[in-house]
Amino acid sequence: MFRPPDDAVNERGRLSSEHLLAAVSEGDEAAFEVLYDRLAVQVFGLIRRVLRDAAQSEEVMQEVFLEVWRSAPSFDSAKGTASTWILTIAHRRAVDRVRSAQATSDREDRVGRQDLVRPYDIVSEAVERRLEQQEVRRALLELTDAQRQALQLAYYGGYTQSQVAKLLGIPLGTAKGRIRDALIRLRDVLEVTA
Amino acid sequence: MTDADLHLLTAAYSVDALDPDELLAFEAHLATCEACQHEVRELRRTAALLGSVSDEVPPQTLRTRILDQVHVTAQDRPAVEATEALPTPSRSPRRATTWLAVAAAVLAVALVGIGTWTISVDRTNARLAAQAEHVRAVLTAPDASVSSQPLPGGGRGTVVASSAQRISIFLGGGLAIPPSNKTYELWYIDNAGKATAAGIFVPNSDGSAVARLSGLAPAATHLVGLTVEPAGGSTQPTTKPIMLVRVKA
Repeated sequence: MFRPPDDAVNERGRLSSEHLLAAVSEGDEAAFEVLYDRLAVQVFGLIRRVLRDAAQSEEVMQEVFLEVWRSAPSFDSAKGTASTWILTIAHRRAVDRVRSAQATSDREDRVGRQDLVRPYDIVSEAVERRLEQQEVRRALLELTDAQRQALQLAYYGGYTQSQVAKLLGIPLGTAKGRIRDALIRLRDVLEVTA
Repeated sequence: MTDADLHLLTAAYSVDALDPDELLAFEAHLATCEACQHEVRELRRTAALLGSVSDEVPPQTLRTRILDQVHVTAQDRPAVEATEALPTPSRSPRRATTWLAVAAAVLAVALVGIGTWTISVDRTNARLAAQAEHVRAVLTAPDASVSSQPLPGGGRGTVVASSAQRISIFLGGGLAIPPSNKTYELWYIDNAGKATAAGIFVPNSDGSAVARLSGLAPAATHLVGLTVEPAGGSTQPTTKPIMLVRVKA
């Protein structure tokens, strides 16, 4: 199978991810390879966190990067960074898979048994290699336990707002408020701007 | 659901947690609400940060599988674009050596493009820089080959190809500006005479054009053709090529 020569790959290594994506949109496979190597670890980390299952995670990983390849021409850097764009695709695909793969009752049992006892304990398990990750971790500590739990069930668990409410045994309006307050608080603590 | 309620759904939308009925209502609202679009951009970015806290190295076999599949997968909107506002020193190049002057201009654009990249770039600049980067990569490839041919009406078409990279660049000078219902289209033509569309372009107002042929060049020796097609391009040539040059593998 043809592979872009190493030189072409090395040369692209110094481009920003946004430039790489622009090159990918022109059919540049060497740029795609560099972009994959740059983001694969975090994209796969997110998919595994949502899906757990290794085989399914690999399938979704493949779907995500093929979507990145196919729809690179529609990426608009004015609307966000390349990594946000790719992680958004990855999250949506992982969530779609988790919702279709498991019967709701099965998932609720699973959650009832383990996840609510110690819901996705990302704080204690967080990888601390990167400053950005440390900042996110610190920011998560700024949330109330209730906010963190609701956001983690939604984001890492792939549950909808009404499922979160049901799982936690709280009114829908309360669940909505916690998810919203949690994400907005994170945005403010992390000083994220559009 | 009132508009005020809909405004409150930005966060749940950004973490893909809307229930199906709300999702439909919110997306309809989002299409016209600038405040929500802005907030969704911020919150998506925040969610992506949440998404980047766990690292896991995917298996090498998965990488190979994905790269192999990309190699045979078409993109949703494959097209080449004429590089906008590229300074072309000669309006009607008469000799093949003129491509060197064009190449120098392209290189200048490429270097500017590379020198100014930042985290947040304007899309046009990003595309230009990406294109310039392609052009530069081909022009400086050790195996770059140059094929050139006069065009009807006094212009000239030149194809610079790197067989190792399987990338080809078309450089045109003195091209007639097509009417709005026509476009130029490039083709890869293999030894069996089969044509594969390689992108459409419209020349700059001075008749110059630089376009990267889309897709991969055939691995074997082949022809690159240029035809005039209805606007939007064709899947097979519908007119006689105005340029047909041989590119050696």
